[in-house]
Amino acid sequence: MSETIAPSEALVVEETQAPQRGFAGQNVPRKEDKRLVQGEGLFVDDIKRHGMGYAHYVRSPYAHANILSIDVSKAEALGGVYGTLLGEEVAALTDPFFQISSPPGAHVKDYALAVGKVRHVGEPVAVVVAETRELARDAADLVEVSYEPLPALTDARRALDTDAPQLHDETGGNLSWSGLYSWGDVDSAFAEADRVITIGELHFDRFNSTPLECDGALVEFNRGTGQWTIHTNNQFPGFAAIMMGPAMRTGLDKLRFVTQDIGGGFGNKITSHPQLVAMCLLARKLNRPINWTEWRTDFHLTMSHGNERWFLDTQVAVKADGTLLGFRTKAVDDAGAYLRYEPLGGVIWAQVTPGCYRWQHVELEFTQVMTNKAPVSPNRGYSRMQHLWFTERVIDIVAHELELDPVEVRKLNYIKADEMPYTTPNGCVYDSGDYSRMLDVALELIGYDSLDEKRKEAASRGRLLGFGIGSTLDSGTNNFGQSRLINPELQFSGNNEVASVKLDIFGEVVVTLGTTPQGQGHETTASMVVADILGVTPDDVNVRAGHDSYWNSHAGFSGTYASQFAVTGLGAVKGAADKLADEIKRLGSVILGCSTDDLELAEGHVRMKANPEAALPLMACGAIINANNAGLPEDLDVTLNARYVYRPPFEVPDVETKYGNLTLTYAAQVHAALVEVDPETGVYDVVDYAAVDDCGSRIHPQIIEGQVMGATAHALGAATYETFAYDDDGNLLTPNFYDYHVPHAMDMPPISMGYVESPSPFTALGTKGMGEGGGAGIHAVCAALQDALKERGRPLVHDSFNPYHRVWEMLADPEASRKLVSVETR
Amino acid sequence: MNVAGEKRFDAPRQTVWQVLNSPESMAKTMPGVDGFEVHDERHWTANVKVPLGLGGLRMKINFEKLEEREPEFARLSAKGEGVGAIMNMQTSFELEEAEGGTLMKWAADVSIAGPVGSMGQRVLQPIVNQQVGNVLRSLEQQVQEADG
Amino acid sequence: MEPTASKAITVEVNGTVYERDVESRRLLVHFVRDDLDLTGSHVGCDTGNCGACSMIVDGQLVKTCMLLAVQADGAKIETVEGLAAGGELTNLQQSFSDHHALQCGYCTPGMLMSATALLRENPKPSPAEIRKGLQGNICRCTGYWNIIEAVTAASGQEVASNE
Repeated sequence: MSETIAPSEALVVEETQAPQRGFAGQNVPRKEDKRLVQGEGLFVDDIKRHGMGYAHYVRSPYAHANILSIDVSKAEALGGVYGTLLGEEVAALTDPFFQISSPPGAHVKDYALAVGKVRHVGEPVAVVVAETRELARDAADLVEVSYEPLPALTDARRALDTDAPQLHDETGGNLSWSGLYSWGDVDSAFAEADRVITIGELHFDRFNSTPLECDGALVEFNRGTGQWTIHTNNQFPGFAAIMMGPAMRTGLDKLRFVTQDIGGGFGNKITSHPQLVAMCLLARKLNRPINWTEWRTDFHLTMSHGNERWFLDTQVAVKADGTLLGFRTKAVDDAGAYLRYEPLGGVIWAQVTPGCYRWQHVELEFTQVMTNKAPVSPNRGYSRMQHLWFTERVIDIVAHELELDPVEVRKLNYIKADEMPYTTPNGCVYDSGDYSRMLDVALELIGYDSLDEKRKEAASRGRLLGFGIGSTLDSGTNNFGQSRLINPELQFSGNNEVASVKLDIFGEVVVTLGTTPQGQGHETTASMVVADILGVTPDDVNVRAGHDSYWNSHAGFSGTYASQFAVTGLGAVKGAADKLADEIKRLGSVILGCSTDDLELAEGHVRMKANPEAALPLMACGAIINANNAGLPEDLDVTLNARYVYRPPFEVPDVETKYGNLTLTYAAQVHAALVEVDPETGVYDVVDYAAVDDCGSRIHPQIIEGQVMGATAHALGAATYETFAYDDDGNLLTPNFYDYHVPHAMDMPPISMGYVESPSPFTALGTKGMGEGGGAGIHAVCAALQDALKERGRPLVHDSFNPYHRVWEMLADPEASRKLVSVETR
Repeated sequence: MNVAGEKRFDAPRQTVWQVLNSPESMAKTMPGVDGFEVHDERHWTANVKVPLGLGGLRMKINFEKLEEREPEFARLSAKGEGVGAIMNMQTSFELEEAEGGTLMKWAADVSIAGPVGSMGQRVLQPIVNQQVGNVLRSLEQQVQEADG
Repeated sequence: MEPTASKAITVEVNGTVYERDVESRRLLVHFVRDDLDLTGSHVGCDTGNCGACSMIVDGQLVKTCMLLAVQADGAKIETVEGLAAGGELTNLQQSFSDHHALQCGYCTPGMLMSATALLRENPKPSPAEIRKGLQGNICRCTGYWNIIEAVTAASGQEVASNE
């Protein structure tokens, strides 16, 4: 089903860092598969412990209410119930979670359970632990909570009104964080413009990636040592530890995180630290292991909604030929009831300020507010996707209003391959990429040349055919120093990842990673990189599954998130393998009596290049150092156990000018979609689809394509089917898979895939992080719908979410959306 | 959710008022009432089984008369709690004399919190409408009996 | 007649017979996962939509979160653990791996059982028939395209492009 089309000319390859080739570039069979296809994976709910208790949460039915009283006596009296945990205990035993924000967000008090007040439907109020899952649920129903309901705030645009319900007394209002970003000279851009296009409102909807496995943990407490062992599927243990340790008034080494198989993350498993704290307290209080398995409904009600963002009063300065000069906009971001990873979303979008385009003058006023909805946290494409959707909508609307060809306008404005590395208006450096060529590949795959015939053919069946492009970036490997643009007092910067590679006594190569893969095939790709360096095969390389703090193979930023494994994880693996290779050669040089330059690693041996017969098998090296080391030179510093911390080259960005490099690599994707709309009903189908990606050097093409397809499926779901809809009282109307429609096999269009390979000049292997995607499917479908409806009054697509009834509304009343746009000719 | 409507009774206004203002009569008008308890003139509680879900949803509803101007106007609040649902309702009714009978204009603002509330207006509105219909029919019957 | 709080049941799973006492309200998927320690099948939702719990019960594909364990008394159940005989992957399992039809692996056991049931009923399904047959299994990682390919290939048919 997927045709991978390599470009007809030579690949764009930067000379500075040619990627290693060997196993890299091949589709080596995945090591993870054997256990997963036999149901022998180890997911968190698979772990059993003798005497363990099952936890069930008591949750708020109100979006906003004071807690007047909680009575757990009936629950605790039920036979088989081991105990409970209440907010007042949490407030006594822990400190509020560290807040990333500067004031006013800094003053939010966030605990593992609601203390005194609830601020979103489903907020945890108490926990009950019992002998069985079913009993825990029964007992939770017996907990009597008395609430005083308060008016709920459900529209972020009203959050700063003087009469808006106030969520947190400590913050003096619902503002989380606000900042003004201004680069270039926006006034001069508007003075120079031939046309100024004003777009009243664009809205990026609230949804997330609903990984099939919900959050969970099995927590054990060792009374003798004060050590917690947290088996969990949290995908960013570095962050969880930093949040949990201070709150629990314990050192980080007392929090051992263990993960193995994780059923999908997509960013949505980053902020489970409040639940983990509750389970830790219970494990200690009840002196037994505690199982917490989140229900689907709980996940939808409380976890990781993606940032909902409005772009208001956008003005775009354009030349008559469609050259984009600059834009102004006001972004209003809805963070939900608590700030768990926010307000980082307020700066992370700036990694892709101009999108794929060459404009120099940008002004964006960012305001993040809190509302009585589930707290947001990273979702696949975190904060960049919202902004990239905005830039794609803008360029598409500009083309639409000025009656220019959307393909030509993009090509006119795309940053060009020969301008790479390209410095954006705010100092980010796009490493490499050829967006125009990617667009050409996409157009070829979608059959663009025959678009007119396709339109006529569709029209003969009474359908409106629309064509749309979605270009997007997947910025990878964060510079955490960007957090200082939110709060100058934060002490975070740079990034890291750790790996260890060792050679054991019988010659086994053993790799431990700091990452927490959720299906990205880290065991496999890591083994390929190590195999190439040590001269063995991936089958010879044993990569330990998952993550364990006890391996001491992690650092502050360890985890799997934000499209960085191919750079940070593989960078660490390469560093460790290189170190080990060097040690093997130094040992070999002693044993074989030559210099290290005379040696190579190949076919499982260290041997002399000039005379391959003079060879030492790796097994012998391992045996010598580990068990047979008498007589070795005193100054031979060889352990054959190499630990390496990869550190990307970053500086701290300038807080005053908000200028600096915020990410190391920029993978890109260009998608094209054809949709057919039934003008009677608004029902539409995506009838053809093309996805072209460029993630630099391709280590394992099948895994890369798998990520591109997965991201496309998420985007198509968000474009048409998925939304976290709330009513005016703050009830979530889509709290499960019955109401929140996740696309199934029949919902997916046919897809053609293509790629361009522009290695990154900044990374050890030329790879770029990838996986999040950047929501290209949403951008493409929006553009295609707008194109399809052009002949029906030219309505404007202004929401990222376009279910059939919204399309029907645009057909029925195109003027309503046309009111949002105006073109001024200078 | 908002519901409102009008109903004509062939009985005099005072009769209708009496029926509406007697907790016993009101209890009889409420569908699925298992029992009720009058605390004082303005407060009473009813145990109700609403036909929702398997086996019905049991709720304990606390009524409070908030305002009244005999025989023309009354406003009540009702707060109910059951498994998976918390109901808050404000209701008012006005009685006018009309051509040998009484015209009742009524309105209610109902909100449901909890997992049941997630079903949304699309599902809950018909249920609310059905309950309202039952109450009005029962009220009609009560008024007829009272009228003799 | 009093409702029974628990019952002794007998089930045969992947050829092994188990006799257990189980609470009447326990779901079959929890019985298999927790009481029989066969954790290959997974739970992904509360409403019977995702299919991660799919098993074959007396020859029928069933979402076992929608069945009580007591309803399976006397049944023959097949789970993902029973597919590979003596560690030899089936054609279908191997095909899933070859075609990268799994990433995180959480939906995979359910997908494999659904595909197994489909291929028993329809040994040479078209891509459209495969999509319909797997409609009840949600995957959030792959987008389904590779899964359709894998099932097509496992059935001995040629994989067409663009489906």
